[in-house]
Amino acid sequence: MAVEVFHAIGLTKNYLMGEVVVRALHDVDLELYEREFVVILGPSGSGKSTLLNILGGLDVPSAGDVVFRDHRLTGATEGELTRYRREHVGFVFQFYNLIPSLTARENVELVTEIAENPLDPCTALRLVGLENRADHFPSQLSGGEQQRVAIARAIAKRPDVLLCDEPTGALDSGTGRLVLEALAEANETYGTTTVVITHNAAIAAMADRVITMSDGTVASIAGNPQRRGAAEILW
Amino acid sequence: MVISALFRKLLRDLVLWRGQIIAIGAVTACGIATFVTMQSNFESMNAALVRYYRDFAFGDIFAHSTRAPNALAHRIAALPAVQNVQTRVVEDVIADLPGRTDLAGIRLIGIPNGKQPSLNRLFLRVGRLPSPTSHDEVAISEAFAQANHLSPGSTIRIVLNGRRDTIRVVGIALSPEYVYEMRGAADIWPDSRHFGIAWMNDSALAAAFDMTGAFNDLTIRLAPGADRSATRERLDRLLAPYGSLGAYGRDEQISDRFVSNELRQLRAQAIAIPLIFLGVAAFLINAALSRLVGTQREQIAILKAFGYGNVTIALHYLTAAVLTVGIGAAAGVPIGWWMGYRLAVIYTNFFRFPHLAFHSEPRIAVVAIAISLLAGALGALWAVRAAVSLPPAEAMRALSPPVFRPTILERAGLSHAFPPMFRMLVRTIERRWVPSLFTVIALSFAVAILFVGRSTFDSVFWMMDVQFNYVSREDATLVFNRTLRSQARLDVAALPGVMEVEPFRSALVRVSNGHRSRRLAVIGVESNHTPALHRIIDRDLREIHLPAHGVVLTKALATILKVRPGSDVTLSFYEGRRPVVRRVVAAVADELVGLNVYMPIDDLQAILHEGPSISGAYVRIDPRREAAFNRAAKTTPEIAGISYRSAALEEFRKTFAESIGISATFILGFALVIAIGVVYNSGRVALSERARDLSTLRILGYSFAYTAVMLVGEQALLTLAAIPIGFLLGLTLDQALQPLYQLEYYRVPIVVAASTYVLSAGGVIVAAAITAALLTNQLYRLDIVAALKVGE
Ligand SMILES: Nc1ncnc2c1ncn2[C@@H]1O[C@H](COP(=O)(O)OP(=O)(O)O)[C@@H](O)[C@H]1O
Ligand SMILES: [Mg+2]
Repeated sequence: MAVEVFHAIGLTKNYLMGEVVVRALHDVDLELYEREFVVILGPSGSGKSTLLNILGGLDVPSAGDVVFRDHRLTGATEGELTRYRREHVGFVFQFYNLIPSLTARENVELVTEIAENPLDPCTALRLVGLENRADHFPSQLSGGEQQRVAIARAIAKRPDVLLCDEPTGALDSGTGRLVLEALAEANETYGTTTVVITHNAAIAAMADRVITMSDGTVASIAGNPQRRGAAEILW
Repeated sequence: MVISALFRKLLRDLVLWRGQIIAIGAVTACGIATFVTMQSNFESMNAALVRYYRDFAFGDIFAHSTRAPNALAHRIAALPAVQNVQTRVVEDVIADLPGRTDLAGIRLIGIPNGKQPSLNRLFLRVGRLPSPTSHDEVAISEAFAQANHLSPGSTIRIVLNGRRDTIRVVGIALSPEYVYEMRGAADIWPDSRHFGIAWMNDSALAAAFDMTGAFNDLTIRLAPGADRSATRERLDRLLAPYGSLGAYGRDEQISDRFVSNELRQLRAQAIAIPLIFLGVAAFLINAALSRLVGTQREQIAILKAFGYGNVTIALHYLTAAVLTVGIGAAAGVPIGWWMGYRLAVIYTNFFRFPHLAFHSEPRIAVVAIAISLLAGALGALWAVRAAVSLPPAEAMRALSPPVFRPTILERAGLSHAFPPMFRMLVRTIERRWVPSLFTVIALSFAVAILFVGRSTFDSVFWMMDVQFNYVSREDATLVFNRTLRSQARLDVAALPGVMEVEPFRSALVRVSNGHRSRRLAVIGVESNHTPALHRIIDRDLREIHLPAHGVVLTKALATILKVRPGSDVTLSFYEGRRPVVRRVVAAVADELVGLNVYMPIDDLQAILHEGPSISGAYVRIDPRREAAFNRAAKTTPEIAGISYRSAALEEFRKTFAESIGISATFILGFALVIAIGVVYNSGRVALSERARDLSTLRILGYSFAYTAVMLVGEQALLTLAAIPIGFLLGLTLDQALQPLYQLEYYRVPIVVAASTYVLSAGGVIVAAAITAALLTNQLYRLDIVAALKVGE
């Protein structure tokens, strides 16, 4: 079948809070494949972000192994993780994380300037429908628009994987739908493996597979034979 | 309950801000410490001098004559307002110190046999006074003893009125009359290796100089509030028949003049330097606290949204400010006391005051703390006002760029000529120019502090350089024991090793313009040739040619007398028939040190009704034959005194390094701490403002090194921009402070040595480098994932 992108075995992450050990992830095994659109569901605190951050090279597990294609992420140096993020990963976060002193285009350029084979920033912005907002500063954009800039920034480098942590968490349903459409569009156009964390079970309808987490473990993985477009989702 | 939650937030914030708080506290501490140190030191020295003069009965009026009968003392004592009269014999002799080839001069001063004089009493450091019947015992001055390694038991060979004799040291003493031991007004700096005081029994001294039953020197103590100039004139009239060389008050007494000058200089420093330091500290406290509070805009908005009132919020940050400044004050005041004490010890040695008397008025500390607290409170309130004046919803949005337009670079179409990182730097700075400007101003203040702290001393060194290398180029100045015929110059020229001779005739005179007057020695020099050794120079260090008629005054004297070229001055001579003449001021010499009048030697001789005559000579000596010269000079009875230029310069350098150099060093230390405080603070605020952006960059795949360069690069650009501004600021401050440093005898020009530029720029660069290291370390430990968890 499809080519494996991520392979994680026995991922465990413990945070030490004073005397108490918080188990954010416990013995998680997981594979992610090329071109697929995966939704991760689960209650707050179930370890979704922790998992995503480890996959994105922003965090390291306390135990277990995670391999991206032929790169082992566990045990990689700080520099190797930086290169990994630069070359392969696109991030979208709940709070957009745009640089406020740069315009929409410049925020995208931030990535295209260091990527090897990037999209033209305008193309990326067109893809999220913001080509005529290119010279606006984040403070002049609505939340949804800011998030679409963040998506344009994430896809502009043509990443292998797009990791999105509650991208619609701070948005209303209409705006959220636009953002999800942009993600689906990128997934379709470039075949980017896309992982989206959400609280919203309805979004699962868009996914090829749905991973449900609870209490730091993977509770279930379900395939979705009838993937729907974002427009069809009942919010 | 509500207050206590807010108070806990305060404590947490303080812990969170500990780096900045320490930096602000350190700056405050330095500002306060400088103020306390310098004020306490000045006040201590001032009090010590007053006490010294009082406890050791320093005189009010001084007079010299050739020879006056002792009986005259009773008539002087009977003058109105005169409380006390001390007459004595004073003679300058040449000394032959053990193991030395060069000549030293000793001033022998008579004391009532075996007893303390009633005025200008001695403080005995070691040993005792001469015994009542001794003929050869002396107590010598401490500076002279130390410079020449003399102690009780040493013997010194001297030439007493033409006869060789020996004096024996039995004590080491200090006198309020010779806090500075200088032979005369012509000396620029005390040279204790070559001049000192020896106190011996008056009857023995009188006998040696055929002065039995007579005196040639007296000191008077006046009743408080007495009219000094009236008494001085009466005294002049009484002494006139006995070869009076003029009476004068403390303001014309050489030692007191120097001490007063020095204290005035200390006072000027004690006002100027702390003013700048405290001013800069206040500015920084203000700026730093307002930026710190500025980073809390969102939190303030949230507090407001919860229903906290503006006053409560203001009090909250005010408490933070007061605590921060309080920490600085708590450290600064004790440091100031301690440093003030250390400095007072140094200055007490420098002045050779008998006792160390350190005291620091509580008022000093209170004023310093009040200024800092005010600055801190205003800084915090200013920022809180800005934050609370916004509706909470608006404030909750992150500080967005105030001006949305392309940067200068982009408008100039240059943007793509620069690497992306540089573009980002310039954008950040330009789009957030208000805080950037603040940082630049703060940093330029740090440069300026270092600059001013240093350049104060550049001026003094420059002055001495001018004095010793442009004006006084003679190797030695010979003073004869009486006026000699002009042919004596040939005898001087014939001394071994003498390469050049420039004779002069000096005469004591009171020079006046209306009621303004000064008693000094007018120096007659040859006008028909260009003096090569002792030159008269103008502002541009060019020589002034002495006109055939008229006089040349030094700038300081011209200022005191309020005369300009073309004005007339009156010269009242004390010699011969005490002629009084008027002469036109032909020129003003920009000589920086001293009060001098120069006139053509033939004019001077004509005024004094004497033929060609000289009273001394400047000489240049072949360095290889110095010993031979000294040997010959020693056996020449006409030479009553000799000053060596290099020795005086050496002495100046040494004294300067010991005393003022130390205070300069600690000023520099404080300035450096302030510089570090400023740079660290601005870097720290920059880090907290950019933490989120820098984390985002790293998440996007930028390396740690890249973000470090971004952060440090911004600080580096701002530091570089601050340096030239700091120089300008420093020069401006120098200009503003200049009047404080104008002293009667020193005209202090603004001079800035190249090393001062290097040092002030270098100091801030070093501070910036230290900060860069600290910031890089903090950036390294920054949790980049944490930046994703907070909304903008
Ligand atoms: N930096 C951290 N320090 C301590 N505990 C953490 C940290 N990050 C996450 N956790 C804890 O780990 C658990 C999982 O968190 P997270 O992965 O963010 O959950 P989710 O994204 O599913 O809401 C939670 O209990 C959370 O409190
Ligand atoms: Mg999460």
